[in-house]
Amino acid sequence: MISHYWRPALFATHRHPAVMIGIAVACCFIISAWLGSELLSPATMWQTLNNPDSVMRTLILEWRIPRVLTTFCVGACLGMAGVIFQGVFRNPLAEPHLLGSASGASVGAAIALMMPALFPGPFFLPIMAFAGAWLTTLLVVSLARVARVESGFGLILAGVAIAALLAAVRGLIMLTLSDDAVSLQVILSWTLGGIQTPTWQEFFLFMLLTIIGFILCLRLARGLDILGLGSDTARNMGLDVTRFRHRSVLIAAAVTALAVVWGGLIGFIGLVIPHMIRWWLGPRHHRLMIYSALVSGAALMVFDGVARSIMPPAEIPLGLLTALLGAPFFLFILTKEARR
Amino acid sequence: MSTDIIEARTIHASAGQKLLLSDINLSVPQGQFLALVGPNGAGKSTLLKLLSGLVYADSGEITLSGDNIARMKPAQISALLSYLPQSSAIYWNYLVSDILEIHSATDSLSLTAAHAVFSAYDHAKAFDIEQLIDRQFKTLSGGEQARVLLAACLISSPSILLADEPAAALDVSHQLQLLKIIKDRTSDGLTAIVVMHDLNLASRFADRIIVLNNGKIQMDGTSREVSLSPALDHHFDVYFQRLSHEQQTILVPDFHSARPADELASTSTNALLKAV
Repeated sequence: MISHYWRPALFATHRHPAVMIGIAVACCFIISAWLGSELLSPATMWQTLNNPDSVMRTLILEWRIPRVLTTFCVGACLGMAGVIFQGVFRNPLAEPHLLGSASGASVGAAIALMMPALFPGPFFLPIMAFAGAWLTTLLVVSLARVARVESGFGLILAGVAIAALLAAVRGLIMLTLSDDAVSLQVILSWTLGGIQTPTWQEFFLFMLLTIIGFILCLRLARGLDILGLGSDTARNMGLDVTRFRHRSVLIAAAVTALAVVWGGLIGFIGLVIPHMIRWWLGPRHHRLMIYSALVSGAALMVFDGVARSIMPPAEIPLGLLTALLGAPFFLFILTKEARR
Repeated sequence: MSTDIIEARTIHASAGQKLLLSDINLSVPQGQFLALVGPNGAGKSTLLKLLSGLVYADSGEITLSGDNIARMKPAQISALLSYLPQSSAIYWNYLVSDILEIHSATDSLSLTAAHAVFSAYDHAKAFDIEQLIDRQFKTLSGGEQARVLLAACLISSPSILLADEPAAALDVSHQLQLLKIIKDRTSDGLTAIVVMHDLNLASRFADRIIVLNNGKIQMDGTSREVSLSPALDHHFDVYFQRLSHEQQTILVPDFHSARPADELASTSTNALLKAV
């Protein structure tokens, strides 16, 4: 029989607010589809969608909906990458943007975009972005390890320094290689964070890759739980810590690259949302991974809607909006950690 | 008939230029409660980490159940052995139930989450920590944390427990309770090697005591043999008065006498032993 002591723990540690989060995601989807240079109330949207001759219907179905769904996938990828980086480095400040992984991905992607002769076809873009994210993360971690600051602020400092270096490299690449075929303005807006509007075929490919990434990330959850108990305990529990860390960084770099290819440089989502979920549902990584992915996706959908609707027809870069929210949160975590 | 579940042969270990352990030979039969004692820096924790496969020796061989630990996979060692570190390195704000569940599910595919939950609950009850189950681990007292960590270590029913000062942060009552749990488990076949600083507790609970000093095994015998030996005073650099109580030797450090090391410098070993 389960004692009265155990009951709260059962509920506390095994709650899965799937219905609540599901409703929230659906609401965010509707809000994001409603927001834009042309505000469409749900009722109007429903009427428009039921009118096969409407131009607006085509715009919504072929432009706005794929974009909103892409934004959800970008947010989910950033949330998952944040959970992995924080878990594997046992560092609450780790996230793709601050670790430099996103900057690495953007340099890789910029090289692929600016040198179409060397990297022909659309497949090189995600591959180069992945290579950039992975190599940059390895470089940052190696630097932090050499300086013996892997689990502290030093890791983030190394990440920020490398990100600054990569921003300069990216700027040089863009300035020297941009031409009429690849507009500098498009690349610049992408680096400030902006969701690419895909065709449905492109979206389905992206969704498939995001689902594969989600499954791979979820498979890391138990290892991340064990790693949270300490390296010695993790090794004693049969976890090959070094190999697990390498695998985790590889997978986190892959989902970061996905997010960067489709959304450019969007900071702080991978920091803020996993923290909020951890405060709400606790640090177990299965729950953290699932709900961080869903809530990050939902939050980014709303941000993107706001970015599209503040100054129509212009769009505010999404990365600027997330930084407005994320930077104060980062400072809050920094202060909290410094007091520990 | 008991068999040796742990064997260490001519182990040498160093960190840089510093020799940590030298010529360690050790055989531990199944079901034995072995206390590792010795002054600070003697090499106790290093030996425990070597036996658990967390670090490797410069030379020598360690076998667990007849298998060379250097050739065993982490999962094989994990199935056989639980290691309780000196200090907790738990990072996140896990609940006690989280820690027990993480330890109980050795493989997320072989055990369902529900099984992990109920096995964790039964275990918490056995260790008298069920009232702590929904508390955050970091908010517990040192003693409560030690009990939770020991419970977590034993949840997968390992054959070997290697514990590094598990009773150090506990009050007397909980020290006795915790060591009794380990002692009871050794009756069921658990082999326990426990680093201890309290010689009286070691003498009270352990079947065998090994004294490590300067990286070498200096004494190895039953609790009674080690407690009564005058060499113990020398290795701890303090005189012990030996009181007899209910067939047990109680060691009381004597603060008024000269330190054995000081006296050793001026007297012969025979004279020292005579003084003891």
